[in-house]
Amino acid sequence: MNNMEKAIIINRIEDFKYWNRKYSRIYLGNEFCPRLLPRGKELDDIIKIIKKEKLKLTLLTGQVDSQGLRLMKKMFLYLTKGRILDEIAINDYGMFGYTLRKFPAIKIILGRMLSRSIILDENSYFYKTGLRRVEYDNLSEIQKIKSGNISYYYPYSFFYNSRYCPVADLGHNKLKNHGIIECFKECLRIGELKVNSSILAQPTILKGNAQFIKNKTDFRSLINFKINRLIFQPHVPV
Amino acid sequence: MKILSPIDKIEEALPLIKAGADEFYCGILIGNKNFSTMRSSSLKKSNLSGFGTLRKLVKLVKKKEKKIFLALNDSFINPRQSEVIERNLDKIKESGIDGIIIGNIDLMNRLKKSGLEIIASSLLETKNEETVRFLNEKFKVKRIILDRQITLDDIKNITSRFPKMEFESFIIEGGCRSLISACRRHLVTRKEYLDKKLSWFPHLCWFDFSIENKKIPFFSSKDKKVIAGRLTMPYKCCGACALFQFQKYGITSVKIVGRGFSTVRKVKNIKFIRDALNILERSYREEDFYRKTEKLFEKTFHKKCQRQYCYYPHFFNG
Repeated sequence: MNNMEKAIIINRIEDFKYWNRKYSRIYLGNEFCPRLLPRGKELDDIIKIIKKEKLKLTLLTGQVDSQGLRLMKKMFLYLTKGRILDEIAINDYGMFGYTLRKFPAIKIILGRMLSRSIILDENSYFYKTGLRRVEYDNLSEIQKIKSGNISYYYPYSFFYNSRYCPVADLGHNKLKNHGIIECFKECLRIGELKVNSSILAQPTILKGNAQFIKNKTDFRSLINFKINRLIFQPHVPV
Repeated sequence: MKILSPIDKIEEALPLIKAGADEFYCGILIGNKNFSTMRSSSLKKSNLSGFGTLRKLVKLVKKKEKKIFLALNDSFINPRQSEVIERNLDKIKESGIDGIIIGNIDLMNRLKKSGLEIIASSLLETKNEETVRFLNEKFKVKRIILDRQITLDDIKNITSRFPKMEFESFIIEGGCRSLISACRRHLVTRKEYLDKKLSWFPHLCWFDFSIENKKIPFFSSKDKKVIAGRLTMPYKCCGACALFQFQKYGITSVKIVGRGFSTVRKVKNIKFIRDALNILERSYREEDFYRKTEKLFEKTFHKKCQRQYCYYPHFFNG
């Protein structure tokens, strides 16, 4: 455990209250909704802290539509200009292609959304094009990779992410299928919701457009999975 | 605009063509193994039994001057399964198939020089122009099945940027509230529903949900029902009203979901979309087209258009 790199997800500046010196790396961004990316002064203030504390930076990205892509590109360019970006965690093939094309020097990580649907071996296209790391949030899904680095997110596993955000524009729009629409970031006001159903083995946590379960992790077992980076989620990461 | 229909057996070809299908996609069992997406019904029901059947089916479809594609789009294809596909490449080519549908980047990379036309599966979740560029430049993909959770604006943006490429959009049957790559229902589904002996494979979207919090900050308790309702998406999903936009955006083909479904159900879906396209040809105004298409839905499926299960609900949200 001592050799394990420890990182923390920072979705917004107030998340730094969960940070302490044991976390040498920051995962900045949002995998589930590009609308929640920190911008403007908030982003500048986050960067100041990262620079001051000499932390390593991974940009956390999710699936993006055309609008989300514009936001991601803007943030990506901003961070690379500031020369503080070390890695990008990818969960969208468009972002993967864009990074390869425009920023070949940036280290690419396969995020926890894409990693589960790709069976990797040494000859994989992803390794050949410079993939450095693969990430998971559930031990049962970790593949036996002979080489390469593996990260583990805890304590939350996601199992659902939708572009039809169930809380978007809730104050004005009561349609059951409101579509993929602009929102007022209702998710941040509503917070976590407990969801149940006859199909669910246990109640789940809904926040914004994603659902999660909380895992109990036996940290001693992580060595068996060749995990060499732990990523702490201080709250449900939306 | 063409209608792309699933096909599972030779006997279906003529009734589906008669109903109005222009193109088909099918799966195949190679050595009793399935290489396309998992179906809720049995694999035999949703796949052709082997290359002999595939050759006969392709011959029949070609005779009718229609196209047919082979789905090899399981995203979880491992290197050993990829080798099986590569070993059978000659048989796939000899069948005369018009293209192969792939949902796995590594397999796409292995087959990009095969001489077969590669169609990017919806499992690659294309909804931005960079994904189109990536698939086209790296793997020579010229046809892409767009993501289910794509907006009409994104379709317009993509088709206008890549006018030489072909795009397919979902039009009727299966929807999903979660992005495909994000749906890990096995982590939360009750054990009895995961029993492989079950004749159907339950999706979370088919079930009702409840929000258990007593109160929701800033909102009324009644809103809990709205939120819970937005988590479900049972069959039948439909996007026929968006044909109006698809025609303007130059969508090549509209995709009907339903490998493993009965021939009667497939025929009904094709006829509905064909009739909607016929309405579209009569150049009605946008609102009139929606109204007529909704009426057609009601007449065909004997139930009201369920807007809450629309693929592209944006246009009636104003």
